Amino acid sequence: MSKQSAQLEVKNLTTCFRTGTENVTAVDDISFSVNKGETLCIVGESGCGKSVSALSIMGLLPPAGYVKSGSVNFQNNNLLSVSSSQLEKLRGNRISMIFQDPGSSLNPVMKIGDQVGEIFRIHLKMSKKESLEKALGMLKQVEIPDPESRMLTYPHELSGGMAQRVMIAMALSCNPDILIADEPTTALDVTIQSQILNLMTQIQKKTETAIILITHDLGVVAEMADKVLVMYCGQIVEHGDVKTVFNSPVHPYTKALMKSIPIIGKKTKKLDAIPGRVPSLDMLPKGCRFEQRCSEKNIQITPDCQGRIPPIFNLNNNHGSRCWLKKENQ
Amino acid sequence: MLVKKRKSMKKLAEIKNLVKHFPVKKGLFKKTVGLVKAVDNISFEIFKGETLGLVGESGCGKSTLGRLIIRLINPTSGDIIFDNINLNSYSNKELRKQRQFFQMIFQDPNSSLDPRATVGKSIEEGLIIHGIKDNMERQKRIKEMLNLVGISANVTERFPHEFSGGQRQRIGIARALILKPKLVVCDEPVSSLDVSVQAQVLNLLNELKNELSLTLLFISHNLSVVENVSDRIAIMYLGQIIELLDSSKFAVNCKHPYSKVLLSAIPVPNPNIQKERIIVKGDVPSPINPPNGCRFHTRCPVVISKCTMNEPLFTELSQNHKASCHLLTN
Amino acid sequence: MNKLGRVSENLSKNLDEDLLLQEPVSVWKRIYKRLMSRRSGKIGLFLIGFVFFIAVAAPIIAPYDPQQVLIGKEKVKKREAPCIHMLGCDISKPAHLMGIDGNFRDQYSRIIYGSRISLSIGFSTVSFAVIGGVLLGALAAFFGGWIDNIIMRIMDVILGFPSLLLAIAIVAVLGPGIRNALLAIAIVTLPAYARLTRASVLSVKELDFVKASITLGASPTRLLLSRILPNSLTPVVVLATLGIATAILDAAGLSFLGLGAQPPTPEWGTMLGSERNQVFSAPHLVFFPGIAIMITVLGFNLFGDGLRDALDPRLNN
Repeated sequence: MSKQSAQLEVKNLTTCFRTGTENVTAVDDISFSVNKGETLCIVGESGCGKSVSALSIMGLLPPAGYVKSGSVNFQNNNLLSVSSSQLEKLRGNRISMIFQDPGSSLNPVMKIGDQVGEIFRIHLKMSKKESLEKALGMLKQVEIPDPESRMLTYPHELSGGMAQRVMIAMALSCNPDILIADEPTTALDVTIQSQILNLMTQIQKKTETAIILITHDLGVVAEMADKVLVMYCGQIVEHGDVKTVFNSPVHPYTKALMKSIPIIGKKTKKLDAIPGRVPSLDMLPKGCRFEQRCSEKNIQITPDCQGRIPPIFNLNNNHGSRCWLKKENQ
Repeated sequence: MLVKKRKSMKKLAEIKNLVKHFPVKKGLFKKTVGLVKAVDNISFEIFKGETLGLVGESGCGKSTLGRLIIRLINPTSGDIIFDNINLNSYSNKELRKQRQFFQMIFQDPNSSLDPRATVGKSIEEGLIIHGIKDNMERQKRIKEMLNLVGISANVTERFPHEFSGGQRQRIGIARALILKPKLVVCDEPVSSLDVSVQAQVLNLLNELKNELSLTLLFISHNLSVVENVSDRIAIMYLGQIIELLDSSKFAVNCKHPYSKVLLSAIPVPNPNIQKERIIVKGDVPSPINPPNGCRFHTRCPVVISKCTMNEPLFTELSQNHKASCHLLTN
Repeated sequence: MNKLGRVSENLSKNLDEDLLLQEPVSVWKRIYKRLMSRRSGKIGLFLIGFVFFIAVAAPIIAPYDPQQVLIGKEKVKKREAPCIHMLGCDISKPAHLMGIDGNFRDQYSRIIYGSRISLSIGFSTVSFAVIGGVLLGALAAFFGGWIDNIIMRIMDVILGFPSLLLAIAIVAVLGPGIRNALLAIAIVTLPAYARLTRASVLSVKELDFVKASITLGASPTRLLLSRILPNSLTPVVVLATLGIATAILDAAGLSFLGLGAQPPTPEWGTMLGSERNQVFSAPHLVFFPGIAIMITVLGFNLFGDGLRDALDPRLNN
């Protein structure tokens, strides 16, 4: 890890969605920070709020979504309260984002060269000629074969892996301080995924960009992360160093998740499935959101588990877990 | 899981030289300008009571192969011998009657159930088609089936949209199994589900397989899942099976360069291990113009000149282990 | 409100029991709720209901017989302006809310009875066009090949002509009259339904649940009727609702030109047509039929818009 200067600091972020009758809380009071050159992985299943967190930071929530409270501090600015023109200057320039489906993130009627070049024209005020040269340079950096002719092709002519590389090229054009990657390899084949993850790691070594990587794949987390944030139903349930969280997970959800995935070379007769399913956001229980499916309950604690949402208890070494049980064993 | 010796296992199905080419049509008069060689001369056997895993990346033809076996698509050439009878010998009407013996479980729980039909009607369809005229009898079997898949039996009047993804997938399983088929082709049955629900459905499939004496063809792009549930694994690349072996100690025993690449590409959820990654260059070639000689030679890390000219034969390396690679058969 | 209750150990296998605590929501209820949540749906439904009510209650509401010539019975002048007692018309004169037309008939009664004709024209032409169009489109999409080609090329030929002109041509050949006008409009609007159904069936055909039915052994007939068609008809329903509006407009147009309903039939288009030269001297004879057409067409258009939004599957979550 590098300097302790936090590039991004999120404090008590809460995001809600307006739905017909009531409002639904998609992200519930999350706080984290990312340092220079560091990779933070936010891991969780669908509906846990990981993507919505990223969109909240970038100011890209859909019309029905709004940030209810909290702050996102980036270089002494609260991104949630800057003007939209200031935010536009930062997006794509100092903070970039890449999305899951490269097919729908690229403009289908613009040539690749023009799209990548556009970033340079807008943010760095370069001329058309200069921006195209820079664009070519970026395509080479992301190791796209035959980049000169690729500059003149359209997105639909690219494979998934190539398109994602173009996205990365666009995201990294202005050497941003922070890159947010929302499930960047989920839609890709596993061999292409390893290429892309490798590419991201190489580039990070050179540029010291802080990366926030959102994924549901624990394998990707183990490979890429320095720090991990485990989310469930909109809340952070565990956070810490990647080795600490994987070697000694504390929250029952984290433990159950790790036990339930099949691992190559370790055949089991029966997988350790987590019973039940994720509660829907409009019918959340009063207490701990994982309690219903938790296999580590004991009778003394249960009234607490059902009655009150546990806060995040800080264990040692920046390792925290949102579980009443751990309070007992401390 | 017991690994039975091949000699004592009976063949349920035999696939011989199966070929499926899709024409590429262009122009005003829809001339055929090329062929997508989705499945290109595949031969193998499926033994009674086993789970045969079929794994490969996008475009390898595994879904097409699954659909050919249950005759959702008709082959361009080749034979499928099911229970000692060649499926080509059936007329359309006879084939419909035979379909009760081979069924499919589909990938996407959102589109695999008719949104306008109640769940009961969807499950009932097979029974009606195959002549169970008594309504009481049908309802009884539907309720039995729902209990088997872990869904309360009172839900027959509900519509698919009222269920979660995992529940819909179970309903799809109920629909396929109510006819007591001999072979069930599972086409990426858990890929669209949340990670914590995947284990539930995989366990369910295994239980049902044992309880109903089924034979499964398990198709997936996720090698970890396939290794865990299968007795044997077949790996496909660009329309061909390039390796077929027992799944026990698969990670140690697999020999084909592509299998090794696939294995190394899987991110392992263990941050303590620094994996030796074999990174292949480039994308999968198009199945319209597969490379000459060995199809993998353009990306193979250990390619020799023979590979660029001659196609390797699918030969037996040792008992229960076949592969097609020049380096292995010399 | 629903509460997630604690689940006992016995049900560990069926931990998704919370589904049963919710009430079943039928598909139709959801659609109705969504339709009513939008203003266009509400207003459209209200207007259509209004016109329907008038059509059904015509014998009760209409003060006069629509064909009755009042020359000897009352002292009314030709094309006399409306006499509404509440607005100051002399009480001794009989009330004629919309005035008298060029043949000494009460226009109010004629407008009321005209609603029957317009609605029946709308529904019968659309029914004919929908049944024919859906059948042809479904067959074309399901079988493909030369069947598809022939059917679609015939549809293309019909669509090549401007619809009203083609309708006029058909009526000119068959002779004027309501029945022939109906046939002409139906023929002219049928291809749109065929095209729409074909597109819909082509995409539904590829969905997994149709493949699932095939694997279960369903025959082609069963596939088409039980699985494919019920899921392909949503866009057709929307088009049909809007089509009623178009049909009424087309019929009025043909009648205006003298090719549709013939006088003395109280069809709104005919009424407009026979009085079109009196726009300045007897505006009430042009205004009221026009308004009647507008309200009816607007009602169906708004309803169709609302229905399309309510049926949009993307709004399902």
